[in-house]
Amino acid sequence: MKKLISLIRALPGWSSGFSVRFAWLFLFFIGFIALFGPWIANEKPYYCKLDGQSYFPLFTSVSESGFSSKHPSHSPVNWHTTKFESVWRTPIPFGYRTIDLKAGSYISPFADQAGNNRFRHWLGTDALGRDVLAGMIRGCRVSLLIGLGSMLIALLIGVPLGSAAAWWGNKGWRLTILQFIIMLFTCTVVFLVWFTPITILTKSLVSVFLVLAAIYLLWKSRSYSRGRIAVPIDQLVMGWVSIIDGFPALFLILILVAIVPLKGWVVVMLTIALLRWPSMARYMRAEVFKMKESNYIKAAQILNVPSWQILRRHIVPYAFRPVMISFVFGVSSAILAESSLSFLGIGLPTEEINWGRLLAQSRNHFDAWWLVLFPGSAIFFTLLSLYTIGNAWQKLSEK
Amino acid sequence: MFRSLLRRCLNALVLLGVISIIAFYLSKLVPGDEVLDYLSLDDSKYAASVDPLEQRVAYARVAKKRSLDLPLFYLSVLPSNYPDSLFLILPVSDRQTVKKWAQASNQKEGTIDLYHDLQRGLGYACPLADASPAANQLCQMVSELLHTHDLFSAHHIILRHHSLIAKDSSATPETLAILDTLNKDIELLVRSTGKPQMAKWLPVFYWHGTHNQYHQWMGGFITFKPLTSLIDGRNAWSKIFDALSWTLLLNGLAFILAIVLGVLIGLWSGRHDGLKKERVVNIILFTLFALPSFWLATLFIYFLSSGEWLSIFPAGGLGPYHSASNVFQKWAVLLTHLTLPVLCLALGSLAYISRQMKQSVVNQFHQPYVLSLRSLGVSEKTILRKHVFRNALFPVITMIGGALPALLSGSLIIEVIFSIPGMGRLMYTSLVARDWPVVFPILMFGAAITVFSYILTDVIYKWADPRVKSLET
Repeated sequence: MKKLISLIRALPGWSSGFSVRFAWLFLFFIGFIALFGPWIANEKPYYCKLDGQSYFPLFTSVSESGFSSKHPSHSPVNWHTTKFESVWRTPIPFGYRTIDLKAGSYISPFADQAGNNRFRHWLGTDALGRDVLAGMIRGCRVSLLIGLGSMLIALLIGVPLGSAAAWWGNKGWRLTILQFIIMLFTCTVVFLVWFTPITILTKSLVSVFLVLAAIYLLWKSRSYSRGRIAVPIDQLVMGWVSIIDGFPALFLILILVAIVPLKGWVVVMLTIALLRWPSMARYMRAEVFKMKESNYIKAAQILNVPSWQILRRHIVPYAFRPVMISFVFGVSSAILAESSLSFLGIGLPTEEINWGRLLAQSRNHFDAWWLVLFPGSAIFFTLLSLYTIGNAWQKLSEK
Repeated sequence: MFRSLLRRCLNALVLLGVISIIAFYLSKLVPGDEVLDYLSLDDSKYAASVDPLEQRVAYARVAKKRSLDLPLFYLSVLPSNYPDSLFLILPVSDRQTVKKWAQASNQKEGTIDLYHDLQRGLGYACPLADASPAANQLCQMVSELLHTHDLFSAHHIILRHHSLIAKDSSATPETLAILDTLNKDIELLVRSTGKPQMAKWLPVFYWHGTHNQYHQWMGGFITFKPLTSLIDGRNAWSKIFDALSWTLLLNGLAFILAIVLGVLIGLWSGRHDGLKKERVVNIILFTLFALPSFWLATLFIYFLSSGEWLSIFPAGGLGPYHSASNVFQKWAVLLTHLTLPVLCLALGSLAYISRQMKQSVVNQFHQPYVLSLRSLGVSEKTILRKHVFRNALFPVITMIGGALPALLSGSLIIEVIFSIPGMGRLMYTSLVARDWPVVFPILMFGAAITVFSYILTDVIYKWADPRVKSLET
């Protein structure tokens, strides 16, 4: 417990004010709901007893039809209406996909709702009669997953590329002629392999093996400053950054959703990552440029520490804090992007529900204020918390 | 300086070329057949005819007219087991089938022979389909084969039809001859399936010269060739300029509002940094910054225009400005309709600009020159107005340069909510309908502005602050 408290105290910005603490607590709350969402809002009960037999439907894959065939006297079994001998339900007895036909669509939270309070829709229902609270609980998971996932990918691509671009520049990384020949040779062979009439799996395995072998060879013969042929890393990286900046985000998202054969939310996550890594790389590049001029890096260079080690031990760890600050702001913009896309109905599959989708439904039904207020404030408070934390952290690092 | 500017402009042109190639390839990867989209526009009779031969002729005509029968790019690389003329086979569905056959059998001559014989069968049998049942059956069989990717099931189809047609009395010798050739062709392919041919592993390169789709498209693009939209047949350029004028009006108003108010609030809060009233303003701005614009728009519509609470403002659209009797009335109608969207767009960026401006003003107040001005007895007002203001503006100038592309590409979400026919919505509807003649100009236009706005920002920066020496970073 003491350890936990000290861990919480070590959170960035925890000691700098009430609002930051509140922001952290809110984010933990959202994270908790995202993790345990299916156990909080689900139509299946935790435990139920039928004809003297006990079941744990939420934790086993028992379905309504399975129950019906086991207990024909109760058929058809329905989680909500069947009279169980004893039952322990989840706090919100609706899944995000459960359509409550009895209550109907667009039920206001304050309206007289059919049934007892146990099955009340505390935040109303949406256009199809699904519970808004259950949908919002699902939304926590989708938003956090896409926000954090896409920014992590962006971080993993952007930080190495950005720091390499700044550190080696256009002339710093020099290859000997042998190394250059190895690189050219590998590229050619991979290219040729890609067009041979063999299966895609074999092709990929052979290509990965070839690339790894080439990297190993280059690694063993490292002499990055003595060769003759300079690799313009800075120009290459910044070229890609400008290319991605030049594309309208909407074009990439719509096209990638149409052509990438993966699940909807994975494509959305990857696309947001693709659109966000340039800013991460640019940020890292500026940071490393600043650091390159500092005295301790110059000292390390004079001591002949290999540049790879300088980067790994002295630059990337010190850039950690500014990068994390921009990571926090990046997560908020990724969440905003995800909910805007869902609001427009792009990307995620149609049966998926999240904050943006719920908010979009209010546009067809103007008096459904609960569909405006609750999902919107969930987005707003998540963004506000992230901004508050990022801002406090930035102020701390400027001191 | 001039030389480095020139070099950067050349770099920008190269980038634009790469962007156009990537966009072109991505558009070709999208599932669906572009020629079919054009068919409904160019040939209204197409849907009515069921004869496969007639359909093919119409297809080929449209493909030729839109130069979609050309290879994609200057250069193409094919695995050695694909037939040479693969990229010339039309329709696209046939090309897929031939590719699958070639992949399975590794026989490029045999595959292309089979394809040519199938076409011969189509040309012979389909015109006679009404006269003889055997020819009709052959015609149907050939169309079925052209959609069968698997060689073995194709073989089964032929064998089944062969026995049926052989019994038919209306079968002419030509029909039987065609059937026999097809059978021979496909048996050759079936026999060689699954046998890799070690000698043919190197890919083959083909050079097409300027006679390719990318070149035609890019050439037409540079020379402002008229492009027709696939959705409504209007000229794409006029569609874009209409949308652009609305976006410029909407975003321009929002931009001016955000900059003027943002700079003023930034100056004020920089001057009163740390006071209680400034902290209140700061918190309000911070909240505004975190407010998602689409939620704000939905709230505005709910509270101010849906009639649930108030209905002061119209809920969307641009209003009946066409029927206004004079200029003032027209603008009055437009402005009432644009108030809410402009506010939604401006509030978020206003918060951002004023925060940047405040930071910059506070930094300037810590500079030594402010201290010396104060010691000379210059009043605070003069310091702020004459010295701090000018120096504090630089970060804002950089930001304006960065915001330029967004100004023209439009905000899709606000345009959708308030149903304003701007660039964002045009791009969205055209992309969803795969209306490439409208999408590509918008895309290239946006890319050009993004790429050149970086250069422009540098130039403005250098002009505003002569201390900035190089254009390199």
